[in-house]
Amino acid sequence: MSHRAFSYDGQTGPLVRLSVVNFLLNIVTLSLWRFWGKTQVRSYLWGRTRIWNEPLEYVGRGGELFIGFLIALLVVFAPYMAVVFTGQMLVAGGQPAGVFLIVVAQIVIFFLIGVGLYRARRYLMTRTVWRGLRAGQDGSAMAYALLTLGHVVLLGLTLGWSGPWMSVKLDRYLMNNTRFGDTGFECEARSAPLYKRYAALWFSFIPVMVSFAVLTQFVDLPSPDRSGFLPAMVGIYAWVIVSVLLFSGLPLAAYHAAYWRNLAAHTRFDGIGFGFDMGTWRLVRLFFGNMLITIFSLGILRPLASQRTLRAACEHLTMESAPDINRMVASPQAVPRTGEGLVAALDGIGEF
Amino acid sequence: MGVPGLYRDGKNARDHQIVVRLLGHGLDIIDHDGQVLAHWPKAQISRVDGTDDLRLACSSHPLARLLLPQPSPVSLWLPQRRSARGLWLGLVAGSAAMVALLAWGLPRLSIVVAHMVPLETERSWGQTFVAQMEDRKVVCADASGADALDRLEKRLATALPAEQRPTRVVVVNDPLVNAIALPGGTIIMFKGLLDQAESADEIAGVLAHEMAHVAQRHPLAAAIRSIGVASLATMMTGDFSALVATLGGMALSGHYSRTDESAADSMAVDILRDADISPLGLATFFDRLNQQGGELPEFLSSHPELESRRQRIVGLPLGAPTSSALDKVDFQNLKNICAQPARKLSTR
Repeated sequence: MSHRAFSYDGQTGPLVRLSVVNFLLNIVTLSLWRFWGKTQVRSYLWGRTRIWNEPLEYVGRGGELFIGFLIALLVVFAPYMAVVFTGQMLVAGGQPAGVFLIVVAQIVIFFLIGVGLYRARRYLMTRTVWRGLRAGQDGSAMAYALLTLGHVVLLGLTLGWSGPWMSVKLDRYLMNNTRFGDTGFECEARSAPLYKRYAALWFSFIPVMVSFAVLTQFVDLPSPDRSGFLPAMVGIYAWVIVSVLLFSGLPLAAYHAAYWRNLAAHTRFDGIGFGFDMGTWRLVRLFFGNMLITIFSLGILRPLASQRTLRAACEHLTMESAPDINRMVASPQAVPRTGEGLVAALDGIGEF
Repeated sequence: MGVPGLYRDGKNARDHQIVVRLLGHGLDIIDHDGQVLAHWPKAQISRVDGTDDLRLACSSHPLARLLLPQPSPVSLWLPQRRSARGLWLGLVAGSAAMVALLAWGLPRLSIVVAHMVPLETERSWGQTFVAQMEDRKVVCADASGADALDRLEKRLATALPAEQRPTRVVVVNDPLVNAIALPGGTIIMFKGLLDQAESADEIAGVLAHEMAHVAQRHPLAAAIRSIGVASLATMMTGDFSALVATLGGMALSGHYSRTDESAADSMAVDILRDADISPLGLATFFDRLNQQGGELPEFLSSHPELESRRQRIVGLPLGAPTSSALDKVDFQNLKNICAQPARKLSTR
């Protein structure tokens, strides 16, 4: 094949128009429009993404997201709020059992967020269509959530050193359960090649911690209602951000660039390998651009950030050869009827 | 006769060479053997946007697609799109109307919601709120000053039902010219405000104003409102990084709405009148703040339009004869309440 496997040809104008219309509709509908707005944005982004010169198609519907949101609100979010409120009342009434109740609720909700993330990805995959075939995400959301929980616990126990090992394990689980039609991806990525860059990242946090400790030691924070409080807090936050960027920014970007390169290099679809050659600086530029767009538009133009991400990903992702489309057929697997509820109710993910 | 194109059946990834035959009520998709692969009713056909060619979908065959080169006679055969000329105007007008409705309705709604929260709940929640403000705060505890403050509060509170009275009134050693009412009924007056006051009536006026906030549960309503605005702003902009919510919450935190302020002003006048204290003290205090102008960003920012509020109070009929809020000795004692080494707010 002469042309690239992945390309993106979306434009700024239509996406800005779409974002502004969505924002206005969100105001008019007291934000209920957002499910349909998100669907339209995805529809645009997917439609401009081409794989072997054939565009993807997003076939999700706003109503599916809305119903998923309502279910999650009723089944997860409302009980969670009730338990936490009861716990707070118990604590206020002097009963320590309330703390136990709140901690249990936090752990359960953290586990459920893991479940929700996996189910959100399953929804997104089954709504992604190429050449008339849906993608899919098999595997168990529970198993993934347990792995995530284990990831966080291990991070604490090993002071962060388990990070790459568990991250790769989680992504391997995701990729090995991802398929297009009935053809699955295989991922055999290992974390060993990542540890050199991860060590650089780990040690770069030491000056951040030290500078933060020095700052809090010598700066006396005014009380919250004094006029000097806000500038002081802004100053401290700014320092934390600047010092993280200064000391850890490059190691962080270098690690993530290597992470995705490693993941792509060990992933195959129907036996065909991938490559991802995005460098550290390109990643830094992408990240800062997206951050500035999101901040200065107060989040309204975030679809533009998603577009930049998609464009960059298509530029750097390669595939050894085109798959044999004569062998690809639809999967008999059932597709979920509603989408993303849990994640949308608790926090919400962007366009992806 | 037919339009040539490609057909995907949604069962496999292959392209099928077909011709499309247009009928009145729908179209037939025919393969090169002349066999009809599918019939799509016109009412179920929709365009798939975003590609150079013409792509059609049929709702009864969800993933099947028809790909036709452009320009195509089929696009003329399909129902034409309506133009959305009025969309922008309608949207801008609609969202402006909604913002106006929210600005009008949220203060009123938050008061209603605040009154639905049991008083016990508000007080125990208010306790944690006060606990958060503590640590750096010190309460002035001069005995005779505290007595004077207590006497003034009792005098003002007589007309109020027990559940509307403040749970606690304290002076904090801080140069701010301000007083705040917290959820749960704690009123904090800052030393700077006592320093500025030239008569006991002025202090009584400010205290009555804060007591009116407590009686009408404005602090809780303000908290509810800032949470409501923050979550609405978050969901409307789709910015889940909470940036907008933080900005909105900060802009609103602890700020009463104008509706709350005028309600508190008029109730303060009633409280003062029931205690036989002249409401002109409050008016004088507003006047003084107004003349100091830029000196007082904190107090001014949450209490706009001081002059019009002053005039409204001055314009009211005076009613029964009044006596000074505190005698000269008590007034001096209250002003000196911070003379005694202060104790922490949390110790009580």
